[in-house]
Amino acid sequence: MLASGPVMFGQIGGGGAVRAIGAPCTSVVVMTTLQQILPGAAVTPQRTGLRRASRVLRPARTLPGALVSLTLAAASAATAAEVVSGLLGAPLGWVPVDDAVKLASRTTWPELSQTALSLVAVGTLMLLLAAVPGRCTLVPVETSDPLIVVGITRSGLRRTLRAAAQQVAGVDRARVRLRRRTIEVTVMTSAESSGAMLRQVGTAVGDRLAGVGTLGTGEVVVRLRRRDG
Amino acid sequence: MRQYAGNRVGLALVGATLAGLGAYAWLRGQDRFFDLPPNARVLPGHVHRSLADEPWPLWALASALLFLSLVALRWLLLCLGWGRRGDSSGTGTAMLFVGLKGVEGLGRVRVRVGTDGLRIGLTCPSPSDVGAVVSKLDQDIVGRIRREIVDDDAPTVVRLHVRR
Repeated sequence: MLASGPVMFGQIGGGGAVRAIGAPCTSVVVMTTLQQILPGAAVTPQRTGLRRASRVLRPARTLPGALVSLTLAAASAATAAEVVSGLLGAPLGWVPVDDAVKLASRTTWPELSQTALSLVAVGTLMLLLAAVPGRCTLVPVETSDPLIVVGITRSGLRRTLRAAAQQVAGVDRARVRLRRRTIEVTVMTSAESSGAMLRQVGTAVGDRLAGVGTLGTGEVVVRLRRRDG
Repeated sequence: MRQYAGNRVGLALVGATLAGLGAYAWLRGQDRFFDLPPNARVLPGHVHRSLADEPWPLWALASALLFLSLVALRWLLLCLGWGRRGDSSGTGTAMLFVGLKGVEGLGRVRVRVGTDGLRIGLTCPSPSDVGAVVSKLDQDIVGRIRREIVDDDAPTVVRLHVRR
């Protein structure tokens, strides 16, 4: 069974300032780089790199695009075939065009309100899918050459950070979650673990993250969970 | 290098058309679309009769639908990567392996040359130093591959994965 440890406030590393927050059930250390605390302190190249990488690595909307294009191609081709076959006197019976025409000729505009609102909702959803940039499929990594964009998969980054956390002595198991603004590392330890280990985990994960050079990943939150018995 | 924008353009066009048609139908039903009668039929009787008498608008409709289906089919094929993925480069793959020979357990390495630049994908095991791999790629290997198989100014996207 997992039990909660005391709330920790600490300092990790020399290069970056550290903030700490408390959590009801776990020990927590949050690492923040100096650039994140002081806006304007040499952040321009990183932001430019992040923007450039995000432009390349943002989702291409392949699945919605494939679904819509497939539906459109199939529906319009089947309807065209049905109309032509009907004009030639041998209807295929794939699309009920005659029924649709009869329905349209006896329906008034007010009866279409629900359908119209559904169409507006679907259209707005598609417009949003087209306009919203979306979360990058890969986590951008800092590069020196502006023509090179390097991205690491989310699962890959989680694995490498988990490997870094598990190298610290006393860590039984570690779990990494990549959130929009933070990276949350939860380590499971034995009952006699101390706050020093929390700092070691924070340093190991922070060093690995700095080594990879990911852009825009935000703060690292380390949570400690002690195992009873 | 820019992200393929065809899907977003297509979704925006289809979405705008659907939203426009829906808004028109709703406004007609609510008697808010200029002075057009709200209780009119969706397909008026005289249009129905003229369609039955004159078949050419239906031929025009069938042609338009056929054109639309061809455009949508092209969109589907492009969306699935037809003509966009580029060709695999054996030289580039070999150069990548040579450049990263110090990394144990490297897998799924592929280098593709497309019209929009170079695409590199590789998978490392989790104990490997991912930072060192990125640094080597950025400062040395990608430049060499570009010089060898395309040109020095080719944009390059590298996809890095870490496996268990």
